[in-house]
Amino acid sequence: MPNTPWSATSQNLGQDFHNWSGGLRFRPSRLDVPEDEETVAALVRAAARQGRSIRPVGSAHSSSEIYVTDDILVSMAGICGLREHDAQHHRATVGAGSQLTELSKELQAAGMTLSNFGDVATQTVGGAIGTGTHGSGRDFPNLSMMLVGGRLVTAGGEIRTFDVEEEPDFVRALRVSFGTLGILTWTTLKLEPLHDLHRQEWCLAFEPCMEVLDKLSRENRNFDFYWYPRSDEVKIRCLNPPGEEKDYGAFARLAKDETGPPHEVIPQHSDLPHRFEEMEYSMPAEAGPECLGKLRARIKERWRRSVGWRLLFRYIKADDSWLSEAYGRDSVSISLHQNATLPYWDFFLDLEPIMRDHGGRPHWAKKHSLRAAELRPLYPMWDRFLALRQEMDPGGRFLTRYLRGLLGC
Amino acid sequence: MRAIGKRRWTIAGGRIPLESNGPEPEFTSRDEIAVLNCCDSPARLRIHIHYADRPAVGPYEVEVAARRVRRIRFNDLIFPEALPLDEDFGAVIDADIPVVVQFTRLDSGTASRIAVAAAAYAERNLQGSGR
Repeated sequence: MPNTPWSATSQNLGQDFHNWSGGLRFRPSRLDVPEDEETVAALVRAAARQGRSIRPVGSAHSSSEIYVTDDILVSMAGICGLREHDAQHHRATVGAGSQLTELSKELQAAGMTLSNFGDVATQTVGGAIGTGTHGSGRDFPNLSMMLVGGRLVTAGGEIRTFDVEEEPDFVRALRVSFGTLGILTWTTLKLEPLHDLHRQEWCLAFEPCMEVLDKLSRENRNFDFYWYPRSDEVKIRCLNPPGEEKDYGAFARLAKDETGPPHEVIPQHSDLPHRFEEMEYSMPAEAGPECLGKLRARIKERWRRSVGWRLLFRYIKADDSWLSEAYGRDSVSISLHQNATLPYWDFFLDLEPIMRDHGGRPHWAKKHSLRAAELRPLYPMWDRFLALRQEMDPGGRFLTRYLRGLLGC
Repeated sequence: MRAIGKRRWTIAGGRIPLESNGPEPEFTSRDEIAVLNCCDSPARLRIHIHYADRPAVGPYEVEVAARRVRRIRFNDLIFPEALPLDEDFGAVIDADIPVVVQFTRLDSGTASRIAVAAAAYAERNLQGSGR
């Protein structure tokens, strides 16, 4: 696997298309990189005439098969950048293909920032919204909730505008829909004034951390932690406005201390040269600690021999996006990791039932084994979403074999 | 400060014990190196792990600050790939400046905890300084 910066558009069709980790490899019949919205619409109209399917792709960081296709793949990399902004109301209209790292630099120049980020910022805006990508913090929902309006290309190849004030239910369905309702082109985002955050990382043993976990998660703006299976230690990661940080020196060892704008100090692994595979489930926040305890016990019992990677424990605020992991409930997410060069499925599949037993919903962009029959009971708005999808795309223009199995349509 | 040590060190008898007893991380069974850097500049280490039945993996890149000692548990190395426990391995450690490497193993999984320590094998420097 090359260690050069990854780009969806750097691949040509003489080779298989692969995702960031290399775990997904497929060969679309063609790869288009439209530079404008009208070209996207024309591609969809052409696909409709020919009875073909079409899938959008962002930075291909996802390791689930949501964009795997043997037909038309559309990279949104050409529709990017900051188009307009309203500094007074902290809103900006940006291309759905904007990579978060690059977009953040433009927003910084305009005096604004995203409220939160995941552990990496290599995703595109459209990909992060469409898959419910999230960071951590009890007061922060996933990134899809910053979507308040925009434009998309429908299955008929028309350009449709939307606004959350005028069509709240449509936007609730659209946010986390991984390109099954249309192809997002321009997105209007609700942002924050630019500010700095003070990041501190502290190391301590597992049990002392769990004793004060609730307090830690409530007194920091952003809080999450890693658990390391081969030392039973944790590293807590706390971000706060400068001057509002906490001192945990009495029971933990300070491992990192830095201050900067959110896009520089929240994502920490955007440039990670070594690939990994990941499974993540979100569950009601109150179930998170017990679930982690059971995962820890199982890993120590069965998996320590082959798994050295940490687990990541994060908080997500409840939202109302119909297919969001955090729909209707404050949530905790737990992520499992394994080196991409090592076997990972047996490990993931052994632990997946524990997360499901705690009400877990899988991350759409990461590894999981669920299909429609198992997913439908997890999402109260599942049937309404499917009805809307059928109404918007009766011909299945944006579906693939994988998505038909995932959604049951 | 005068450089002490060598630039290439090797360990042939690596095998991280699988079982551990007692509070962790203090009593986690482990294979570990302690690296002493007496120089006035950081030492950059590149570690390659060799196995009995498959190609070597590496480099694992680690830095030891100037005039410091650092303990590195093989258990904790995950980039580019986590080492398996309970499997034979050897390690080749290359440093860009002379360092001293000592290897230790703690096996807390046995009834009586066992700790062993030994200097790693240092190769005569074929390139550059480090006498």
